[in-house]
Amino acid sequence: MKFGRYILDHKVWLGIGAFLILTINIFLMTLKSSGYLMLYVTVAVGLGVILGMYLDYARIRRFLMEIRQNVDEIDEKYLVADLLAKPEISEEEIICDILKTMELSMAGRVSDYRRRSEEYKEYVETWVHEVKIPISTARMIIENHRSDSVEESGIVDEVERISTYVEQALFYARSEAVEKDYYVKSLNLSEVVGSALTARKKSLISMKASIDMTGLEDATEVLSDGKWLTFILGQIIDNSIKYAKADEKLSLTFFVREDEGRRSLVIKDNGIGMKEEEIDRAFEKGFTGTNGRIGKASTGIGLYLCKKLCLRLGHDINLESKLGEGTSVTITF
Amino acid sequence: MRTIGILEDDSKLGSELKLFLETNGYVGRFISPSQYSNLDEEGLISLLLGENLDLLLLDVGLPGFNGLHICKAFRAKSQVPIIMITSDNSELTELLSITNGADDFIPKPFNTQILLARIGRILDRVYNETKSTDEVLIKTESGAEFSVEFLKGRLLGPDGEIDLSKNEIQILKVLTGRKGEVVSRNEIIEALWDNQAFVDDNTLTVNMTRIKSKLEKVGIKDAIETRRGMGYMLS
Repeated sequence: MKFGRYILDHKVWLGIGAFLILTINIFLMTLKSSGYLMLYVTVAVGLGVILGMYLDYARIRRFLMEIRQNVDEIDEKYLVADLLAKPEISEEEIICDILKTMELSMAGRVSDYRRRSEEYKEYVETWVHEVKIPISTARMIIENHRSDSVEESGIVDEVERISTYVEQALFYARSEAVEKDYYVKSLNLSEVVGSALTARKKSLISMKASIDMTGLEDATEVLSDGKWLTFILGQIIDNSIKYAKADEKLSLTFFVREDEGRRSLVIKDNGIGMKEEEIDRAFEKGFTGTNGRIGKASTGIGLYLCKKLCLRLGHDINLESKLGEGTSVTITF
Repeated sequence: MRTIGILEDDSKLGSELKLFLETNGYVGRFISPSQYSNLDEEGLISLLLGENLDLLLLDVGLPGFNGLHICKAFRAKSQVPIIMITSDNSELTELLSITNGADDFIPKPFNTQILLARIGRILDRVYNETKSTDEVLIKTESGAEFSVEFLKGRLLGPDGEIDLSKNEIQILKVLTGRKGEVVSRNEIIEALWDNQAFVDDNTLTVNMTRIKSKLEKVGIKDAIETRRGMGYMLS
């Protein structure tokens, strides 16, 4: 706040000062006083008004600057009222009071939404657990009534698809959770990769995919949550399946890389790849890219979730790709 | 025949599971919620003990009971192996299951083949039933005999013996288990994948050629028939 601007805002005081000077001078003129006296009154009243305005400006400026600085320094701006010094005059008191009331109402809202989102997450988790029972039953029924017509109907694949989407919903809810619900321990990478592959064996085998895990054979312990990591790898493998070349067999290569003491797992495919300008947006929610739009029923959730879950686990996830050559995803533990 | 108890609150899933186990050579005993809804934990434990089970499939979420408590209490009184089955596929539940005395943990919705494999493995380990699956004696159509020792990884025929690789053992396990049937290439590959051997179509062809030549070396000819576009048959 500049003083000039303050004066402009408070020009009514200048008017009052000018009026005072004028009336006193007219009064002095009728008394036929000397010009010196009139000059003195003009200067004294004029300086008095300016000084008064300046002192007021300095006070307001200090008060407002403190609020501004506090607001700039904290992340949750609405909590600023807690940081203010004790108000000195009634004007400041009223402003502080208003800020405090706003803060209280905001905090109420925030905790209300937090609770609601927590409740929603709990509901989704319960729902997912519930829906897994009929899916298990359906799998059992299919298994108990195996026949060629069941095989040909493709019902097995449909049940698998439901199962995959349900799993995704569960992890979406988990990724949004406020509290920690993962459990980090030392894991054997080839086991985790193995279980993600086994869960997708039907599609991978029917498309005659070749799997190369020789790069995982030694030194493959990492710290992570096994279930979460299996899910993340599953999403990446699902993408490789979805975006495989039509005229070439899918080949998936898994290997470990060590960089500056950090271990990374690389998942590399020979799929259709991505356009260079789309790579940066691959982890964005809802981003489907050109590939996703060419009839591949992409939801743009998979990689977004991978990124979020990796962030929560403290892993980095990166993607490199060349159109027509393939994609490789790197998870750094 | 081994008896497997199923403590699961969903009746439909429980009865399908029982049927599935029975078609796979076990006696399934489904303990439905109506049998224990009036019982307390102690009552349920003695009900389970009275069933003379060889293995228990135990749901973590039972109405009115905590499956983990049941697991611990049952384990305190019995050495019968327990496999926890649950919809809550989290590391924590798995850890809690194991610390409460469970032998294994299988998340729902389970892959039926993996379920069978885990049950088989635990029964083998606990009851030393290795004999039945460790060795198999096959009499071919031409009258020649050969045997496969799965644990030792050896093939024995009239003209001697030869070592088998991990993949070859798995393939022979599938073929000998379904003697006289055509087994598709994909079925064999799936069985290999279930055992963490992620082979592709070409590797299978190589493995099959090796198995045939190994059979010939020990004096067995034409035991495995290749059906174009269908698969393989051991006859």
